[in-house]
Amino acid sequence: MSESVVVSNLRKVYRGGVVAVDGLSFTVKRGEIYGLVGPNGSGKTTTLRIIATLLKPTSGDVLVEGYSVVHQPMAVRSMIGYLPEEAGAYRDLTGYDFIEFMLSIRFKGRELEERIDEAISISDLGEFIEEPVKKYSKGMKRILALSVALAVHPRVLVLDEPTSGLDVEKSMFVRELIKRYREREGITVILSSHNMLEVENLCDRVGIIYKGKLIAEGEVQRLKSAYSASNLEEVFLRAVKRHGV
Amino acid sequence: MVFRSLLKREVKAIVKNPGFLVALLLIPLFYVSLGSFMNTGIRSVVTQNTGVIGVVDEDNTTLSRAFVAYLNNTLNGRVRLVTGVSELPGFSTIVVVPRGFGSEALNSTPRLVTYTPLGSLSLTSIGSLPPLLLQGSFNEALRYALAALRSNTTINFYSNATVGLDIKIVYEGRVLDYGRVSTDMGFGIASTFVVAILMSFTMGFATQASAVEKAEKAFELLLSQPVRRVYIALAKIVASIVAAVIMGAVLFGSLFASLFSMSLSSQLTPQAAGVSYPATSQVIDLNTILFMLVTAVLGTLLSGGLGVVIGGLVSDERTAGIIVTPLTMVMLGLAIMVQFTGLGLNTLTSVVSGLTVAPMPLLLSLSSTIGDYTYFYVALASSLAEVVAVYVLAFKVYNSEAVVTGLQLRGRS
Ligand SMILES: Nc1ncnc2c1ncn2[C@@H]1O[C@H](COP(=O)(O)OP(=O)(O)OP(=O)(O)O)[C@@H](O)[C@H]1O
Ligand SMILES: [Mg+2]
Repeated sequence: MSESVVVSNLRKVYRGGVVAVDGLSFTVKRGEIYGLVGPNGSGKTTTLRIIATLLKPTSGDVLVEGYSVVHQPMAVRSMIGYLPEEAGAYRDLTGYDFIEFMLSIRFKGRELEERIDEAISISDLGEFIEEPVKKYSKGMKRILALSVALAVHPRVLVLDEPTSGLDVEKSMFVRELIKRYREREGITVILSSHNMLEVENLCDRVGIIYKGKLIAEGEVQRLKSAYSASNLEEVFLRAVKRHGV
Repeated sequence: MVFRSLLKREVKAIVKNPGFLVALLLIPLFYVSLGSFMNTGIRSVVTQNTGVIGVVDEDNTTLSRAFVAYLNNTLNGRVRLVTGVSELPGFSTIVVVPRGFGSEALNSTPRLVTYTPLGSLSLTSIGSLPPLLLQGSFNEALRYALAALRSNTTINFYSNATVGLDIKIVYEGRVLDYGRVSTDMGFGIASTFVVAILMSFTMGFATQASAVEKAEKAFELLLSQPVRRVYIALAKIVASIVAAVIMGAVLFGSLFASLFSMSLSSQLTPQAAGVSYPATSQVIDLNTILFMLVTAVLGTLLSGGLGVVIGGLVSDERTAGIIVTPLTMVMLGLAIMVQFTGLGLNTLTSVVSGLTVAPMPLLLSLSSTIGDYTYFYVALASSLAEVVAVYVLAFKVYNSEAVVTGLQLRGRS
């Protein structure tokens, strides 16, 4: 397995002086599902936004499939599918129009039609696909945005809290989707989450981030034994406590 | 009590918004600096209205001499006898009393020829040209002169006696056609408003288009797609211009329709008797119309670019609205201002006209009137340079992370 996402010495200081990411380094292998966990405000979204080329790092760099987010943002964008933290859609468009618009950026002709069909089946919206997005619930909007991110078959999927706000059934559905796309397309997934249960049975490896720094990293099983914990939640709490003082 | 807290929250949200403070600072700064730039133009108009009037008495009869003397009385001694029109640069207007004035005055309406320098094209300088302002004084002087000629009558006897005016506008020694001047002027004034309103619409639409997208939360999804951000910005600008043109067409269409229906039901104001207005309006040059279109395109491109910059930098729609609403008024205010002050013909005012675009139609009309487009070209070049600069800025903003996070103006909430 070779490297898909290489985060090296990443640092992000927002205007106003907040250090959101502070010398962060980790590597995600190709075809791996990597989970970023950490308390609120620890820098997860900031890191993912840098990988998605929305923010520019203050220093350091991220290589996505060999392309630098600093120097080759366009190439990086064509490698990734990104689900923002608060993904929404254009309120005046229908679900169908939104999918068509977003996918038409990358595809055309027959391929576009196939991808649209794929996204529609992922979104699982039924009749609602022809309704304007403003009538959607939060969960419906989130899955609509996710369907676009998946249907482009990106090499790297960047998901910021993919199941936040989703009910149990929808969360499971999304987790199955992510797994299926990893199996079928061999894509790399990097996601953030507050749901330790989810991370435990979805992710191959986990990075715990605290105040912009990586404080623990590894396979879930190894982390559990290293922290002599029975589940990931305990690992998280102990790791944070150890670094928190 | 509930209303008080609601009101307090709303007022606070506006007043404490950094955009509000920025607008509060920028508006006076803009007008004050503009005012000092435009000063030159205003000054020439002022001297024109209050200056001394030269009279060439070609008739040189008892009546004409009496007319000139009474004219000097009614104008508080502001009349000087001169030898010819060539002395015009020293006067606000030169009045020629032509041969035959005296004998005509006894039988019908005598005519005077007035020569006025084209100081600057504006509502105050042309719409109420000094000769038109003088009409009353001319009539009064004629009545006194006629009464004095026949000692047994009073001026009331001649209360119907009026003077006809043959108005000539002079620019750098050349006599311009008055019909042409007023046609160009009308076109210029109307176009100034059209351009300013189109610019305001475009700017509002473009700002909204950028700010709303952030609120809808679809923006990050779009920005992470492999699409050149220049296109995202350009699409917003072009769409805003199209929307502004449609809105403008409806606005001016209905405005025109309402004016038309009003003029059918009420009589048009009769024109001042005796003034020789051109029988038909002159046709506006094709290239003047083309230049006007170019101006409108440049203006909307500029305001669309500015709108995208503002919308791209603000962090929410509220701030966008707070900044853009006064800015569109600034543009309209500028258009109204130049209607009254006029534009001096010099490089500085041309550059400022170009940078603000709104006065450019008036400058274009002025250029068309005098048949020399040099100053308009100067304005065109400056606004073109500005458009390029604004687009470089707009694309920079769209390629920066400010378009995601918003430019955080330090302001306490
Ligand atoms: N646009 C911004 N401007 C300034 N500071 C910011 C901005 N966005 C985030 N921050 C700060 O950066 C730090 C990290 O924020 P970030 O959103 O990356 O955290 P997070 O790990 O995603 O948190 P959460 O779990 O709550 O989503 C926080 O201290 C936050 O206040
Ligand atoms: Mg977050």
